[in-house]
Amino acid sequence: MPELAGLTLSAARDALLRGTITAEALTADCLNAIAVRDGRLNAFVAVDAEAALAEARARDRARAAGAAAGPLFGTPVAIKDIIDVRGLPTRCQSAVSDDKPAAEDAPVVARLRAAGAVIIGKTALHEFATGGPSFDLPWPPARNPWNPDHHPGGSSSGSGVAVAARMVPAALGTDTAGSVRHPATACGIVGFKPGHGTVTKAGVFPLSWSLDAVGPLARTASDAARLHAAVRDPGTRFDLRSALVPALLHGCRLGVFDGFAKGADAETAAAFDAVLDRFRASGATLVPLEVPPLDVFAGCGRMILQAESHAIHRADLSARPQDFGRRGRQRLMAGATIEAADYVDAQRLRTALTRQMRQALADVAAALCPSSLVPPCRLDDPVAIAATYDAQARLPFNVTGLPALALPMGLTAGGLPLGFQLVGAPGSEARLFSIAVAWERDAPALPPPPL
Amino acid sequence: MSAPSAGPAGDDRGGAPATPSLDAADARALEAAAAAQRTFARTHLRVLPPGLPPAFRFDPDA
Repeated sequence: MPELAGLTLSAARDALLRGTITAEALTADCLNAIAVRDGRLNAFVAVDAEAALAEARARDRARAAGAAAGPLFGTPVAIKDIIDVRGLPTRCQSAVSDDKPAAEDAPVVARLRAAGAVIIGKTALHEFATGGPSFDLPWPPARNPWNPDHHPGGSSSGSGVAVAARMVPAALGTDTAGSVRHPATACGIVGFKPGHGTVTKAGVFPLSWSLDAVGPLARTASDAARLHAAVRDPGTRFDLRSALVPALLHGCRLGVFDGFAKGADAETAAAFDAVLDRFRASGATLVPLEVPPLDVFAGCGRMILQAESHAIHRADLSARPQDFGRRGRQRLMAGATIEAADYVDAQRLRTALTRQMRQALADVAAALCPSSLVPPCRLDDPVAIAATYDAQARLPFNVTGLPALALPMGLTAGGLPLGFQLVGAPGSEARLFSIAVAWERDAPALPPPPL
Repeated sequence: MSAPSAGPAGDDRGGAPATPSLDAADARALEAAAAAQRTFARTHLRVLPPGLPPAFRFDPDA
């Protein structure tokens, strides 16, 4: 069975720098893990084994020749198939897209390579990052490694599955309404949506220009921080060294979005209460935060997302609707009935919500709320699938453009992952990671899924 | 047009054929979305003060 593929990014990097493993061996083991496990999990839509091994050998040769090792030296990373990777088509899980290979890497991919990463393949998603898991597309939906009959979250489904199932140490996804944090939570790993304007979206097929973000998925907060440090825009504020130092939780003032936990099922509510108890036991001071109800953020975000995504796809929706899957088509059509003034008003409401959220966060180091309000549902339950995209507290942070980090918080009695979020004011990315690193040091880690 | 369905894990490589054009289910979904949009606009959008500016955030590099 693959073993090196199970290393965290940080552990793999340490072993690579010590010379106890090579980038080629690590990449080969990840490719082996994909070959062994992905037949029933469907995380990948494209794996370029030869190119990945060639890239890994080039890293090893450069290192042997005395070149400095980049911060992601020799570590395989998977890319959501909505982000351009040179030489591979960007299919967005849709028959509507074409199979022309991308001529260039998206800047985030180029930055990963410049940091020493090995790009191993493209991962499954919901069609154009919306709709939900679908069986009427050219590729099957990814399945949850904790139970393949259950939803792995989305839309960055394959990225979450690939990391959780120990096929790769880290992946990139995109997050418009929670699409990095949802699969992170459903698969029991870490997912990060950075603040607006900190990571370029060039070379990424858009779902909603004003809500989209590019973020990492990894098995630890430290690993996610390393990936974010590599892909963030030059000139943005992010001190990786301070992000990796565990925050002093004693005396740390943390807000709690109590209102966002309403509607959580019993197991999620109990797990979130246990998170709060653990932070209190670590000496943190928890204070309730007052912001508008979750459904106001959700309604605002939904209207913006529907309007912008419809604008992107309306020509194809009109000319070739049959080429979309049903779930994607219905989601993308929804923007057809929005009045222009209502879209503008939704952006005006966004201004008010952003001001209120920033004001609420002004006197705390960070704030806490659940990620999903229900555990991962079954893939063959269309009612539960439809409901799961409303049963979440992630969209407020897309609407307000704030950084949000999803972390695991245990398993249900049925063995499915649950998760919570750490969120903060603009520019608080490093502080969020530092708090998360402290949390991970003290909290019980999830075991690997039953692979 | 039949609704897409999930089979057991491991038998879903290849995908099902693409569905034909819009149908009654699509029309119902569109109407449900429109109703939700109208309700939200009435209760939360058309009551905003005129001095509140929109929060457009477009990335010039995207």
